[in-house]
Amino acid sequence: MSDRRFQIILIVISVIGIIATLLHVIFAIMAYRNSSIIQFVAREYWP
Amino acid sequence: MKKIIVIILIIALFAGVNLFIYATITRRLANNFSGTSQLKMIDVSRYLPFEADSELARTGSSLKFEEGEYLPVLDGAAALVPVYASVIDNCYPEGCVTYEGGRFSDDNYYGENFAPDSVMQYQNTIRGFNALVDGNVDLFFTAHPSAEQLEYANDKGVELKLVPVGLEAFVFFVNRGNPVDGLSVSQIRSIYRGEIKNWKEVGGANKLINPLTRVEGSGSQTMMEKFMEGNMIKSRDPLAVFGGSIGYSFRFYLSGMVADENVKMLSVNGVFPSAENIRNGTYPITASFYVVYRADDTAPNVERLVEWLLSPEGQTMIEACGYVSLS
Repeated sequence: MSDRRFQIILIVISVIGIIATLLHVIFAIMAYRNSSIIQFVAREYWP
Repeated sequence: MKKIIVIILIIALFAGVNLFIYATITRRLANNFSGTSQLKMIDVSRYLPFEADSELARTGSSLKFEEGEYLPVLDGAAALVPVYASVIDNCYPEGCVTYEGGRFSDDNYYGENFAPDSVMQYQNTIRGFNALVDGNVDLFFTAHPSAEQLEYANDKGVELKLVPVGLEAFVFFVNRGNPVDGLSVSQIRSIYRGEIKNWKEVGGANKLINPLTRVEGSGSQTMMEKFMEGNMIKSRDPLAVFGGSIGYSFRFYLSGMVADENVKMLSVNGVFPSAENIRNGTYPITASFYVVYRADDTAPNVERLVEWLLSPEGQTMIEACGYVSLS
C-alpha cells in the first residue's frame, strides 16, 4: 500500500467515523430529552 | 502490515466509542409506550371507560348522569387518568366517550384520538390545563398547578377553584441494583443542589450521581421545585450521565401505572412510601391532588361531580384507584 493511498484511507475512515459519532451523539441528546426517566433508570447498568 | 493494523485500530477506536455511548446512554432511551415516535407517558388503552378489560375502579355510584343532560368534560395529568376515567365509568352514561374514527387509537402523531365531543380527554398537564382555562374542559385532575399555569389563568382573567380530592406521595427512585435503599430529605436536597455528587457520600457505591429532572410545567417538576424551596441545580456535571441515576415521580404513577421491576422507590427519612405511611402522615413528602375548575363554570353537574368526589363513594373510588383518600 502506497503512503498516499494509506493517507486517503485514513482520512476517509476518520471523516466517516467522526460524522457517524457526531450523528450518534446528536441522536442521543434529542432522544434523551424525550425519554422516559423511569425507563432510563430501569435500564441502567449496575454490576 | 503496520498500515493495515493502524487502519484496523482507528476503525476499532470509533466502534469502541460508539459502543460505549450506546451501552451507557442510547440503549436506555425509550418512551414508556412507544407505538409511534411521540412521547407517551402512559398506556391510556388500559383505562378506557366502559370497556370490559379496563383497569378501572368500578366501585359504583349513586350519582348517575343521564343522556341528554350536560356532561362535564374531564381531563387531567397522566398520573390521574385512572381516577377521572373511573369517575366517567361510575357516573356517566355509556356512549359518552367517543373516538375519532370510532375506535380508540394512540397510534397518531398527536397522541390519543378522543373525539372533540368526548367527555374524556387526555391532553396531560400542560395542554390540558390550558384547555381548562380556555373553557374547553370542565374539570381538570392534577397535582397543584405551577406558578406559570396559575399566571396563565390570571392573564386570561380566569378565576379557578382548586379542590383537594386525594393524597399522593412524592417519591424518589433508583435502579434496583443501586445498593442505596433510602435517603434523608436533606440528602435529597443536597443531591439536587449539586452539593452531594457521588453515591458513596450517602453510603452507596463509588459512582457519580445523575440527578434526573422532568419537563418544566409537569406535575412532578412543579412538586419538585416546591420541595427544593426554589434552590435547585440548573446544570449538571456532563459526566454524571454515566453515573447512577435518581429520579422522582408520584407514587402511583411509578408503582402502578408505569411499574418496572428494575426500579425501586427509596425510603425518605427511613419511611417507605406505602399507602399506610402516606395515610398516617409518617412519609414526609405527601401532597394533595386536585380537581380544578373555572369559578364561572355554572354547569350544574360540575359542582355535583366535585361534591361526589368528596363523598364517601368518591373517596372509596379514589382508594380503589390506588391513591390515598383524604380521610
